[in-house]
Amino acid sequence: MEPKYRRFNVALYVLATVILASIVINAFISGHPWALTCYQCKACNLRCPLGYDVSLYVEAAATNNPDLYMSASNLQLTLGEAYETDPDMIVEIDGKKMTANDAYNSNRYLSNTIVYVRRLRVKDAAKFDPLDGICDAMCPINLHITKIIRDLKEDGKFGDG
Amino acid sequence: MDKKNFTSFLIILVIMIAIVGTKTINQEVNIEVHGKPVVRPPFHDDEYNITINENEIIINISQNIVNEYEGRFLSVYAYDEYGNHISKLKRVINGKITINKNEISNYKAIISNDIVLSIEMGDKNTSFYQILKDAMDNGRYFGLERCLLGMQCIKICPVSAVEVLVRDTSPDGRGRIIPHINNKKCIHGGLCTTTCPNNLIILEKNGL
Repeated sequence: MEPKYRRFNVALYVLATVILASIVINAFISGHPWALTCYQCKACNLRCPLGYDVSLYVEAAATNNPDLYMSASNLQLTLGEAYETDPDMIVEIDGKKMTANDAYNSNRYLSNTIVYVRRLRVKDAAKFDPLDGICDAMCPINLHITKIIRDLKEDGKFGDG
Repeated sequence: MDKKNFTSFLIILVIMIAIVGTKTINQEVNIEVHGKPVVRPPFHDDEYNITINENEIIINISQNIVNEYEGRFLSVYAYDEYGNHISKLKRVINGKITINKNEISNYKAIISNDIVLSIEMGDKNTSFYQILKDAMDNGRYFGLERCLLGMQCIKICPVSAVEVLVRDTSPDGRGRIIPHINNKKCIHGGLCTTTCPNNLIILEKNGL
């Protein structure tokens, strides 16, 4: 192999190693390294009473990023709560989807108007999660998803639990 | 691998097994005694009021329940014609729970001899509104309950004192689902009380 190709190969290997290592390191920093074993079968989503995309909890733990957005279908908040939690949260009022910020500042809805949440950050999803633990029961490899939720519920960050 | 190396490997392996084995045998289950767990009584009829209009179910909740559960989840349930317990988990907001006409139920608990055999997903083709209305019209049990059917109490108990969920057969229970605590097995560790997200199980000393 010519030296230039060899150097190119080595550079690619180093890059791949750095990327893979950063994934593993992030998972360890979050305190939930076992999250890496999730193979995204999404069985946990099936029975979530809030209609959360539960696998995003695991993905957020694996990447140490609680600001990922997940979908929801059965979480109700007041508009005021939604706005205070995250102005960029996507809510549905009267069949229309909009950000909490747009709805709150449109002066068309009261602060205590009940809205359905359609997209929210993982850390906010944990905040409102009832911790019923049904998602754990669905996981075919017994990942402790409730542990992630409890961890995030405390302060919206990973690493304490 | 030569004979000498293999012998060394075997010796190390035996020593490691011995260490791990000794530690496991000596490990004591150290659970602090907290008190006797008890299931809280059901909500009384005068503590909530279920009304159905053309578009939604509205459940107005009394102030003492609101004080405890505002912003938290409770389960609204109704029995279907086959005797299954159908439930919908909803968050208490502004002192009430609202369920739209088109929302489907979350869970269907299959019950036999008052024991919950399995918990399945709710029927996607029938709205919870319709199930509750049918229950009301046909005199079947319906109401508001604390159990969210996550079975965390069953999973956490180290001595399997909480083995199953059962139907509350007491006159006030109105068919609600509760965990069955076997007091003969219970070691009063209090794990079920701390893990229950809705304070359905509490320590007796904390008061009924």
